[in-house]
Amino acid sequence: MAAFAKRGSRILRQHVLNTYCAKGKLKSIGARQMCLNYKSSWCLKENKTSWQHKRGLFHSSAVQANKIVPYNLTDIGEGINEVSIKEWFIKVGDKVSQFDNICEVQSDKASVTITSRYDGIIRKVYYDIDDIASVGKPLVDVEVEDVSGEEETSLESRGKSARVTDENEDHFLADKALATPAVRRIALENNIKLSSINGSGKGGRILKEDVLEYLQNMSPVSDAGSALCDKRPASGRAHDYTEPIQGFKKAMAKSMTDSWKIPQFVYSDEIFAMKLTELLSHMKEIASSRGIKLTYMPFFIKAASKALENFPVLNVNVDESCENLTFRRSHNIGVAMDTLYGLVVPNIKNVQALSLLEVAMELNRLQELGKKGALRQGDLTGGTFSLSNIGAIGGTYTKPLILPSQVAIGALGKIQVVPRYDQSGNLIKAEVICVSWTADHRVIDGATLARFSNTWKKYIENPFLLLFDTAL
Amino acid sequence: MAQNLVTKLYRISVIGAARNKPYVVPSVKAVTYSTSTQQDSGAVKNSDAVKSVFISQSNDIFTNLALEDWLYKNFNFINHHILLLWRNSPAVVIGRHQNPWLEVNTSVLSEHGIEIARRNSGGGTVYHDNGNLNLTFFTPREHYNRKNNLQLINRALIREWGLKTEISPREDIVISGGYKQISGTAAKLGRPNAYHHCTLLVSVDKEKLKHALHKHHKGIKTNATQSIPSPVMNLCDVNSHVTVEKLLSTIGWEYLRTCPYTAEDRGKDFIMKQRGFQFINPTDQWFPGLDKLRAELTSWDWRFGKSPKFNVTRTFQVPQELLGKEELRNEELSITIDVNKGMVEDVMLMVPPGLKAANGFSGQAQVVTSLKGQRFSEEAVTILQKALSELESPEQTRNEFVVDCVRQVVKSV
Repeated sequence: MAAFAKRGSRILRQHVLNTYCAKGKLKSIGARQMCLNYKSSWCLKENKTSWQHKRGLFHSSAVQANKIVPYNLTDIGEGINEVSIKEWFIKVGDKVSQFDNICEVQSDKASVTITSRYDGIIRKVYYDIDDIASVGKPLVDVEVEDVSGEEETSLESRGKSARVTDENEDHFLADKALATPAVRRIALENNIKLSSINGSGKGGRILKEDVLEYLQNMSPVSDAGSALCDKRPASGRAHDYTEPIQGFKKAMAKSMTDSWKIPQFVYSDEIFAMKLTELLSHMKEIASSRGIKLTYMPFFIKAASKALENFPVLNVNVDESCENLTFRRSHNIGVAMDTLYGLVVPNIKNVQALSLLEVAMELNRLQELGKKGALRQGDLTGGTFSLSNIGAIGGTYTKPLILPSQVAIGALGKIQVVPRYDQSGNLIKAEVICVSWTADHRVIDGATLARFSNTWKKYIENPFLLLFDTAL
Repeated sequence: MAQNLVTKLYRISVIGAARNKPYVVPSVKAVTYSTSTQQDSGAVKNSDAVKSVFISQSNDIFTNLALEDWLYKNFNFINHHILLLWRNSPAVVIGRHQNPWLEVNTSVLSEHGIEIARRNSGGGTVYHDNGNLNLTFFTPREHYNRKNNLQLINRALIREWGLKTEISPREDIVISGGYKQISGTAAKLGRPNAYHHCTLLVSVDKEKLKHALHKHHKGIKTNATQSIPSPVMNLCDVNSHVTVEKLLSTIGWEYLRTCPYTAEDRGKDFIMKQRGFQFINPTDQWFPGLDKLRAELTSWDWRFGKSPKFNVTRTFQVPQELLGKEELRNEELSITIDVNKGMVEDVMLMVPPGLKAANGFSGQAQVVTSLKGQRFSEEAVTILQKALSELESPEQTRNEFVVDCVRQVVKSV
């Protein structure tokens, strides 16, 4: 599967199809695609194939040809229901691309150019010149080709221009995000609101790449995350089961692949956490009386921020070609989280300006949203540094993978009770946390990371320092 | 790529006398979805679009139409709405799907030096001259709103001269109380841009207007858009202080102070945030591709050839001399010409029995074959004449008569 992740999902689909649809009755790639990804609402009723599509299952009965989609005359606006066709720019059998002119219609005094929504071949033209066409009824039938839906557009259906007022404008743009049906499907599958994605296409259109980038920013960093991802009970099924890598997992796959390009080194250390545990036990009650759930994590986050103040080179964003470093003023510290959809890394903004309790509050908020799968894009982007508390589940030393564009990440192991010698040489029962930092060796050298770690260590071993706003 | 060109050229295209501000070019990428993290993602508009008023320095109808088309095809209006103001020397402008032979008297116009032009938007025929101001409101497709624009004009007229006007059900501007139009409106919608343009009659020569647009019953059958004639009046007749120059600036200011998305008046301060007035010199240098557009607009194929197909029928009284026998009187020769794309597709002659010579009216075939495929114009008739004159002389008078009739058909239309 890793090979497929590298070479792209299309190859994966092919493989799966060849495995499962090997009866060879699926004639076209377009139809196979339909089977894999798209829900049955896409399929026209004319298409005699009676397949039900559930995600993850494949149907292997025959589909006739490329799908033929009726392209309806969309709302022109101004309350107009009928227009007269004045000129055709295409005829049956012509190949059209999206945005190609299809016809010119006239309504009252407005001459409107209708452009194509799809790439494909015109199979039927419903009207002649000078006929009256009705809004909402099919204008032409287009046989859609094997395009993966990326170049389709649903702009024409957004013709609400005439009646918008300011507030309707908000409503209009927020609801009617410009995106192709394929893109909408991906977003729907991953429960992402299209309104929370920035479109980089023409006219603010959301492209498939935008959605994937969005997902990627939610991808996990710790390679121990695979344990978390596996939600299915191991003994659930009797047969081998193959599932395409989609959505979050796909984003994770991509992100990990990108991360692998970064030369990384790990520095690990042991921290005495006795004072921290003690402080936490005192503060927990106070915090919960304020409605804040306080855990170890806010301490780790705040300590990291304090340490970053002394080592700003660890709080940078580096570009892909590793030519520029952007020193970020705000410490947007990401926290790896296990959410409904898998591992995501939302970040807390401006930790340097927040108090410990405020960090805890923010963390709670993100966790709540994460549980519901309702994290917004603003929460998921803009991170400068990341932490992973894999120790909450278990483990000691680990090698987390850096989130591409950041230069460092830390992973914390569990608190172990082990015997150690203190400074006076006495054997004590020590509570020890293992921390592993990974840094981008192109930008960060070992000494810097080590000193950073030591600074962080001092804050954790003397946590009361976090309650003051003093630098060490 | 066209957009990049636009941005580069736009930077230097300002030829304002007093306004040589360095203009920040509108960004190429659509920024409808804001990437700023301050507001909610999926932000509606990062800020209001800014507005400019462009004033064309050309008086040539074709150049101005080409400029309008150029902006429609090449400019990105997402953050930048534009009002284009232009004037032309006398011309008649027909709508995109109209038939010039139906709408105007083509021969009359050519005598008076009045140009015929076809615009890209739909609607009916209008007469332009220097007493007429044209306005084009450019916006992205989503923000196209005709009513707002007309309300804006109403407001401007009230503000400056206290002129009360109304918007008729057909969305034309009429003077309150009377039903005389002072403006005609049309629009073009496409992806991603749209425009709405209208005329404002300030001090137009009404006689010429009537003359040019006077429709005779011409026996033309077509599906082309037919203009609806309506009485018009000049603004200067209502209020003698109104002049085109003043109107230009009044409307310009009103445009700049109106909210880009609604017809709301935002007040004088709002104007400060806009880009103000700019004089535009529509040349190919500033607007690459403009010459090509203009050439297309001047071409016969566009102006006449783009007419939806039609047929014209005329009947002529055959003069007595040509009828062989005495008994037949009042015979009529009927000629029907089918025209498609401005070219004669077919000709049908209903020849009365008397006109036929003993061996049939041999010229019939000639008429048909020589006219077919020709442009529906005077040239076709000349060609026909030549063709028929090569026949033998006894036919001559008859042939001449037929040719004459055909000529009449073409000319009178």
